[in-house]
Amino acid sequence: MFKPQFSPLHDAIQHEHPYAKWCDVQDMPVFLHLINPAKELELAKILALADASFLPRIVLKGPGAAAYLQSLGIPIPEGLLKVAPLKNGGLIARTGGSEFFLESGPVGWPSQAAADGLRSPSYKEGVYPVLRQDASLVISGSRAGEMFRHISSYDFIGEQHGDLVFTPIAGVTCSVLRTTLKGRPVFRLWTDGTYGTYIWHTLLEVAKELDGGAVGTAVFFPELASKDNQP
Amino acid sequence: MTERLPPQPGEWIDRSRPLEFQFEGHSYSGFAGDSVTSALAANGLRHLGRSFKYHRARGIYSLANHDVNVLVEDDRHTNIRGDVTPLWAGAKLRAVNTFGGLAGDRLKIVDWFSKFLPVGFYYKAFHSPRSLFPFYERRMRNIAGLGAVNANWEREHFPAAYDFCDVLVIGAGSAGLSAAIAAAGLGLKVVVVDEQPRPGGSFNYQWNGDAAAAKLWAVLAATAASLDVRCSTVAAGYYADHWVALVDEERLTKMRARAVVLATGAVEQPAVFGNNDLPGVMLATAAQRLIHQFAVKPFRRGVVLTANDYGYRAALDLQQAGVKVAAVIDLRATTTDGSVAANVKQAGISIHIGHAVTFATPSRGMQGIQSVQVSPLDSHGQPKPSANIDIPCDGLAMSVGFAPADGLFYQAGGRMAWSEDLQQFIPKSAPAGLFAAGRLNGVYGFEQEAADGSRAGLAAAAFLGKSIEQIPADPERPKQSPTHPYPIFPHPKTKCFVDLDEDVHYKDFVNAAQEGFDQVELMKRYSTFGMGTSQGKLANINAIRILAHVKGQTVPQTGVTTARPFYHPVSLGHLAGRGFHPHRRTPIEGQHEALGAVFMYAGDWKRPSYYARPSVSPQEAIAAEVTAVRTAAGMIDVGTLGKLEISGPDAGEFIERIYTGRFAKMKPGTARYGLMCDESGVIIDDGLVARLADDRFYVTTTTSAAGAVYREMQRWAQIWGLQVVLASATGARGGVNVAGPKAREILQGLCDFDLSTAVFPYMAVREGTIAGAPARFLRVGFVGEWGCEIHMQACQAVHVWSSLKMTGQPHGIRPFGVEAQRVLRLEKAHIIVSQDTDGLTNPYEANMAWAVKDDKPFFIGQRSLRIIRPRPLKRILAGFTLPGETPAAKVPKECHLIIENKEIVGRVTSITRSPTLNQVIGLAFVSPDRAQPGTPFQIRLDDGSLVTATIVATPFYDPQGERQEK
Repeated sequence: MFKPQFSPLHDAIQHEHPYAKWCDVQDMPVFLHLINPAKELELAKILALADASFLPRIVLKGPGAAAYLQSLGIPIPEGLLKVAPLKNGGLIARTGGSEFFLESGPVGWPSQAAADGLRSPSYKEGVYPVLRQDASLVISGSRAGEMFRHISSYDFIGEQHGDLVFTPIAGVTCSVLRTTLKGRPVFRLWTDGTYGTYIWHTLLEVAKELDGGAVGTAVFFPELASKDNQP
Repeated sequence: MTERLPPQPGEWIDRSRPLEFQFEGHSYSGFAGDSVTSALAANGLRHLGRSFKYHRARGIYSLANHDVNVLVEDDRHTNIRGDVTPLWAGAKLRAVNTFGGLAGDRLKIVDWFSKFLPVGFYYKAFHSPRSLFPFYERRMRNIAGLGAVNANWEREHFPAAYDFCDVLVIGAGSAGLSAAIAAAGLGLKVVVVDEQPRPGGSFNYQWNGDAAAAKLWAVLAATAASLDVRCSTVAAGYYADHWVALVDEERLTKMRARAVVLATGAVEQPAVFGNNDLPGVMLATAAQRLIHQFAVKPFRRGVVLTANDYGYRAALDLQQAGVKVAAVIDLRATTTDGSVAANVKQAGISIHIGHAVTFATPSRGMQGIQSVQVSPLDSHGQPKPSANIDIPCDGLAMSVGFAPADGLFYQAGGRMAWSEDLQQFIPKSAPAGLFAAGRLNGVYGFEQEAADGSRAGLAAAAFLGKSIEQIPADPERPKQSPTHPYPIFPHPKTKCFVDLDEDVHYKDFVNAAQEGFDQVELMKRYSTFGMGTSQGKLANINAIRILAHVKGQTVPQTGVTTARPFYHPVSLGHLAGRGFHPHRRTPIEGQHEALGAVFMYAGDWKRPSYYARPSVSPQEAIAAEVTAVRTAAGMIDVGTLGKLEISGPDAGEFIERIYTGRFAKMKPGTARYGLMCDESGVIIDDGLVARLADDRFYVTTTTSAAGAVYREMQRWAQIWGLQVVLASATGARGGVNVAGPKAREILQGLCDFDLSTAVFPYMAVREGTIAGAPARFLRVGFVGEWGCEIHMQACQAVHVWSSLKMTGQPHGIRPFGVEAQRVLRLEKAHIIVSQDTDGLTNPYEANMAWAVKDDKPFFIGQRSLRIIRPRPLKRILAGFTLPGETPAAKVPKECHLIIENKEIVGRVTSITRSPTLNQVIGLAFVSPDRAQPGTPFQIRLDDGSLVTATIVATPFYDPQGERQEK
């Protein structure tokens, strides 16, 4: 049975870009390009926002979580709020002493074992999976730090340690990571999906004032372009 | 522009860009770079405003935002501070607070009756009869005051921003720039702010012709060109941890600095004498600003009153600008031997040592001055009226001393000490990371201030860990104070103003002290000195001197008032910023919009109140939704409910302690009602507690309490040290409640498990799929019919909602909103926590003793409830009905009061007209002795009339619960 899934930002993006090009990733429509791809690449250099909510993610909590993840071949970040990359472009962040946030790359989890172990995590002793349906954004461009200064009291320009940061953005608790994606410096931002539309609109309002805008997901995940299923 | 001077070195105006504007209906022109006030002055206007209380004529006084004599407005904005607001093309301005225009203000008559209006007169005159006070209050508010806000204009948005730096330097004069250069030279990120449009501080107006100052400034300006210098930016408030609010025209910037150098300078202070407020009387620095910054001649024939060398420089500046300087009046018994005094003598200006100005003679209409009265001073500094001389003039420039601009220093937690030598307060101690420099630090002289700035900049760098070989020694302060200790010469027959903002004059202080308001903070509140727009920048130190004089004290014994943000007025638009209003959307909010939902706010959420239909009233739409649930099926978005998962070996014990009920023996797959109290036994939330496995629970909370309950649970988990893992799924799971006699049939067509009562009974929980989507199913009965809450992954909520809608359509399924749900639950007398309870309600008052299992070892609130339980109840929640024929106008509303023997004994918590029962039903807190079914009681309506209701047993609908449990 076809069970369509939707990003928390789907309505917001579709409303503004009804003719965007999209593809289907695991029953979820993903907007590849919202405007002209060349223009999107230009925006990505200045200030661009894209929806990455389609990436599967999960949190594992509990005293047995670290050992369980290691058994799946997943690296464990040593310190609190430290982040480690996963094969295939995903990441794992230590969000508590025994709490781990994992997000898959665009082509899946690092291995079949990891995929099986994380997609349907069984309730093993001391391991408690937490469903995550975040709104997930990729933000790039030379004025990205400036954008954050309009909406956050955290110094994203000055602090360049690469750890995950929990901080209010425009009044909503978000997790923000300064990292690179395909060699491009970006900010990743996650927030509760129910606040996703609000955060999207708020960031976009500021981004537009700074000559930025929204772009399609393919700008940051070009591997999706081959999935374009529209004429 | 009759008073415009030829081009002046360093002037701020751009003569190539003329600007046309209007003031009080007349057309004028100015230049880009003019302030509103300087442009008016250039056109020969002296009378520019009316005072706050007495409507006296006012003109330029400080030209520096230290007074608000020139407040103007246009159709959009009011209370525009003319002194510091740049002129713009096409401005159509008028003075605020006038009745009939500036020149013909009808309320100038108030000044004639001023002897009957001493400070505090309204406290005494209008307090009785009490009923008339609102009348007098309105009249007084109309007469006294500033501009009126145009409430019909659309809101202006000002973006706010955060910023960060190593060293924030406030003040871009010689001290500030030197500090910035020193700190930046050590590799620190430095930001300099200054409220003036250009850096330079006093160099812009006070050091004309001083070659050494000019040379130093050239170096400073060139070096600072590479720094981040933000002009026209006010440091409006100083908060903890060097968090400084910076306000510019566009936005409020929340600057977090690691260290701060305050080089805010000093504010020139006025002398107090008769009619010292009239147009033409101004601070010497105001006259110098007019000349050097705006190329405007301040007046034609002037007198300079001084107590320092700065006044002599002002006299020379005036003469150079073409003003006939009639005399320099020096308050000091002897003058310095400096060259500046010699230059004045050489210029042919008459100097009166040991004299004071005691009175300004008004010109016709009190709109200016025609002369000043000068008296010699005796050995005690008192004027000798017998030897008065009168000097004709149309302007007086005062330079009698300075007060440090210490507002931010105090706000930061700094302490000041009085320097008798300097006659000003100087820093005594400062919080770590805060450094004062320049005049604020009691250092005067352009080079000296620069040197002190360098010292402060290096000290800030050292504080931030920079290695400094040697920080220069403490500054040398002037041997002779530039500030006169008591420039106050009260005139017996005229007002001698101390606070121009609030129209507080010398006699007001004497009267206040006589009436017992003789402590500085008391006097401030009684007389309102320092409480005006300028926050006492020109008034505070003279007020303290007067109080000290009246009480025979010293200035430090008298003390100072408290400095609070904001240093300058900040518009509400700036404070509001962008106006973030976080809005949570359930994953199916878009579906509701498409169905015509009318939304209501529930915390951050917007929930469908009801679904509008063409040609159907809201009441009819709600009733139809209720009927659909009672007769067929309804579906409601319950994604806003809190959804928490509690796992771990101690999860059962944790639940047992959190909720008042008993859960230890619950079998996996079952659910129970859960009631939460705080430690005082007050109900704080309720919901469902479902056991998924021996070590896993899934609980729901009310929409509004979801965040608070989760935080509270985390707190208790840590305190108790139990092995539990808590996780919130509130945002990750969508939720739909399907209810009604046909709900099971609809669901059965979509679910992958048997929904029969035998397999899936009332209060059961299952995990399964619906339309192929995995979900959690809770058999509930909140609305009194067979019902099932489906909690699915948020990303699949639209799919589930759409599938239910499509499958249920042939069965008459209909979405229903919060209003219908409230009716349905009230028919079942199910309470809503925080509507049917308040911040004091315990379970016994809510008639929910059944939910409290007092015999278990512990739960939060148990100890309090054990104390409460034996005591007689003061109120209890009971159901009631109104007679069927009650007209709509006579139906009470929620929160209407229950009256017994003219006393309030309770209130209505919920009430509605039940479409199912065709009767008005409700819940109310009533006296326990009046809570028996059949007991009548009275409810008072808005119009004061009383209606009679009758207590009935609850639930109102399906009392046996057959429909929800079958």
